[in-house]
Amino acid sequence: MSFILTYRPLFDLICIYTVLAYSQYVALRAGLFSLATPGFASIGGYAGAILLKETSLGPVLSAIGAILCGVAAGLILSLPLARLRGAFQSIATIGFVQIMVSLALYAQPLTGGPLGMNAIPKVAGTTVLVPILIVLAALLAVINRTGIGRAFDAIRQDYTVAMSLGISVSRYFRYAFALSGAIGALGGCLLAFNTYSIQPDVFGFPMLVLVIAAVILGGRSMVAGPLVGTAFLIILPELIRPLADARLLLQGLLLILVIIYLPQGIVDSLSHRWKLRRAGNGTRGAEGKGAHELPSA
Amino acid sequence: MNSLRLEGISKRFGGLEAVAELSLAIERGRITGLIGPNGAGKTTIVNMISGLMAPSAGHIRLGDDELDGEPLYRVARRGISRTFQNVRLLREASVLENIIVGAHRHERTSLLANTLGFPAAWRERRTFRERAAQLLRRFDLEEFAGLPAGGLSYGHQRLVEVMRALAMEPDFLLLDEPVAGMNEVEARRLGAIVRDLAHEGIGVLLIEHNMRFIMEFCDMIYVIDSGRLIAQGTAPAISRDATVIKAYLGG
Repeated sequence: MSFILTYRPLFDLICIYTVLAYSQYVALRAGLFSLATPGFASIGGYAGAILLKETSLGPVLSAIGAILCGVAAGLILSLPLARLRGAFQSIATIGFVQIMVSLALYAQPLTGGPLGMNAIPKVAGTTVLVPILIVLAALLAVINRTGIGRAFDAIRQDYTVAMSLGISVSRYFRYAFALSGAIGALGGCLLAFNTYSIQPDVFGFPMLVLVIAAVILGGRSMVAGPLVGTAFLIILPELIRPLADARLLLQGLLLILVIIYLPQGIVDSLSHRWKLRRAGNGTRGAEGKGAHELPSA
Repeated sequence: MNSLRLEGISKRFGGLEAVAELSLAIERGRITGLIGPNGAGKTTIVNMISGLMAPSAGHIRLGDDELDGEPLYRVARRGISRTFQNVRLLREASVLENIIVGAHRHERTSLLANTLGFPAAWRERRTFRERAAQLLRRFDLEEFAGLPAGGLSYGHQRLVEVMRALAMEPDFLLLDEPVAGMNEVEARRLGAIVRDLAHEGIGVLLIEHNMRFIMEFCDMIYVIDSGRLIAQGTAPAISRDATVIKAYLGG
């Protein structure tokens, strides 16, 4: 029991950062090279904290307000960016993250400046975080299986083919930006509601590296991927205490190793192997028939 | 919308004129062949019809509507479907998923229904899966349904691409060298399927440089060379045409 209590903050952190990783995951899944998640998280974190502290909306409505701010930010960002592709999207979204960090720094009356916002009531404990994470993961699993997931897959793998099948790429990019914004803002809001305080540098480069590393390490297509990746990245430095100081270095190394040896991420690589093994057992007899000539009708 | 017409279209890349004032008509229910040596401008023509490239001059009409200048996805949504000369499948996705994605233009459920998993979204998914399964049966490739498309043999990948194009339930189907890399048996079998499709009312544009295949399956043949139309007519007429024999069959 004491073991669980000791590691509870760590567990909460995994839940929150998995939500943030899902914001990044949605973008990558749609073929969007967006790195805007920390910016969305910053908007959601500050909006949620301000609404909770300064108004009488209560935690649920404050969180919904934060999510709506994230959706709005995503949609505004998509106006210029849905038409751009690849590296241009990445650069522009990094700019967005920088702007959000500076805004949090300089809008002192609202955000508390460099000292950030403190004494935020802790309204999102483990019992709130876990259900939210489950609902979110279920929602993403649904999206993956319906028409949106199909369109995302087509756009990500071949932009031109997607268009030639009648898929309006810019429409799905807008949708992906809005969804990534909503989830990112939710994650930022949960961070504020769980950790008592937020500062501008929480939503900067380290968060960006962590969410990207989580998605790439865990896997980009199955919903379990970002969860596994986040858990791995947060638990590892705790297990090997001397490495805790070298967290960023460790993440960088892990990323390089994973890209070389498990390019699809832990979860997707394992599931791919399993599928191939199953297919190999199932259709070995059919292979000889199908490989060289078409079976006659 | 019984015909798709190119009226005097040209395409210039800098100083190079890839297609010059070309006119042709694709009728529903018929197979129209477009033949010419490598570099004659065949793929450029398909790219212009499908909206991937805008013509430098001339018009593309679907029935009475002008298509030139319409973006790729809108042309597709109007029922013009195509395959690519160098097969372009979603290699990570399964064969079945590759076919289902072709049904996109028939999606009627909203983004919201798809996000929240309303029953309508699942019903639609089931309908599309059934249609894809029918196509797989028609092409006798059911056993490959669950395999990653990137792992199939080249000939089979081509067939999957044709099935994906058919999942759009198009009025017009543009096939860019569909039998390249196939053996004689496979090619004839695909030809027979294409003939059935024409009987069902689809207008097919068949691009090939395999003369025998074109001669056997096309109702109307256009021959181009260096972007210019050098002959048009039925198969017997084309095989007797002196210009064609000189330019293409090599005497």
